[in-house]
Amino acid sequence: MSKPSQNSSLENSSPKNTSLKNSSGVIATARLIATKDLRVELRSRVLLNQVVPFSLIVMVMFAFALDSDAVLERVAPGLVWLATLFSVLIMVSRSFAVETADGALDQLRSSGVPAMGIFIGKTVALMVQLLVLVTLLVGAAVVLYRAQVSWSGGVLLVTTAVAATCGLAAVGTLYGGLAAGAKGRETLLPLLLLPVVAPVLIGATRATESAFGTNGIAISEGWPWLGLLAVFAVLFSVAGAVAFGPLLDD
Amino acid sequence: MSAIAHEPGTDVVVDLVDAVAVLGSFPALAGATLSVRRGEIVLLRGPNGAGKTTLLRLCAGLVPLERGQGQILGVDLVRDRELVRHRVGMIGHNNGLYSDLTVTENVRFWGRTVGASTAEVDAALHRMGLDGRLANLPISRLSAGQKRRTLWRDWWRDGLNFGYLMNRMQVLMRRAVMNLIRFLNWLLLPARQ
Repeated sequence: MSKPSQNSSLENSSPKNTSLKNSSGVIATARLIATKDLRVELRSRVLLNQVVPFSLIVMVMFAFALDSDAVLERVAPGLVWLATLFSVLIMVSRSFAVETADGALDQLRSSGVPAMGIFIGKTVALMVQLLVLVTLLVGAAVVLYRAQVSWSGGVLLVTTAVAATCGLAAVGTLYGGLAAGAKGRETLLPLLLLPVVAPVLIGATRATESAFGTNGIAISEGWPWLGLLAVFAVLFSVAGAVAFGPLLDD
Repeated sequence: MSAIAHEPGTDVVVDLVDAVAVLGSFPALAGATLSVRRGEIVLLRGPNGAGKTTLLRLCAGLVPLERGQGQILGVDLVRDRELVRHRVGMIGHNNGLYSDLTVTENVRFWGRTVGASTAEVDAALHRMGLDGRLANLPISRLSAGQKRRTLWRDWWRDGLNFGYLMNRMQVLMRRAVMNLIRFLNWLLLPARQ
């Protein structure tokens, strides 16, 4: 068996790869992580086989409980986003269960890839999945609750969905990382996450009410709520990108 | 806890003096002193809870050094712990594999994190005997031994200072462990040339 070289300097030698270690490596890492997470979802189909049926069941159960077309039409926007919030909990738990089940998160840390890239990648993957979910839930609201969307309302609805899912994905990834190494993380995550995402629930519901024209609310009244969603998304995206590394280390 | 060192080299790659590591509020490592030279193969022994895993995690830069002094490959563990991580591979209790992805996808993913090219990944798969029917199998369908083979994917790293820290040795016969480490050393050699 040959031995390692003895004449090299400890300080000078370094691993071959530095491309994922510098600032441009953040984007490469984010793309790598997002692609991996979406590929895992395509293989496991947890979103399609478990999360979507769960959220649709929640919508149907609300319909049974309220049992009034007039009430359902009025509360449809809130129910869409409530079902989304419940589903976010499952999706965030799943996203980090994949990383912790066999110690992959530790391996990611020890591979030296930027934590910011991990955060962005997981956020993007979660956002893509949430957009699919919200699209299906809006469709369910149209069918089950007789919600109506005009073309101009559709633009507001799509913009709201993008801003709200971005915020939910960012804060979900941040708190998912926080709870990943904790005992009782399954119960800890809802306790941490639900109070924080209350502004998203309020803003997205008000904006969706405008998009649906619920109670005769004008579409123009929905746009200011979009500002709240955008601020929330930017705030938690930046906070998550900065804090994710130290948070994983602790 | 005791350490048995073999085949001493010259340069010190692990240098810990009175190292203290705390997990939560529990001192998982209380004043460990260890010196390992380049090329040495070290076997850590000790009862459960002695701090073997924490010591390895400390050396891999995954656990902060609360007190004492520590340098890994010349990098100070207090100031630049993150710099240690990509220069040290750690095989812990877990494999770090994604069970829903195939062997090839796992190796490719982890290869990308250390900058391996597609050709290097393919060569690694071939070298580890994972390029046949196993290549497209999901990890969840592999045996424990096949998972371990997939785990040794980082061998293409060509840093001369690259070291492997292995855990879970208690489940193996000591002689088998030493053979395993020698095999890993042999495996790492081509990447250094």
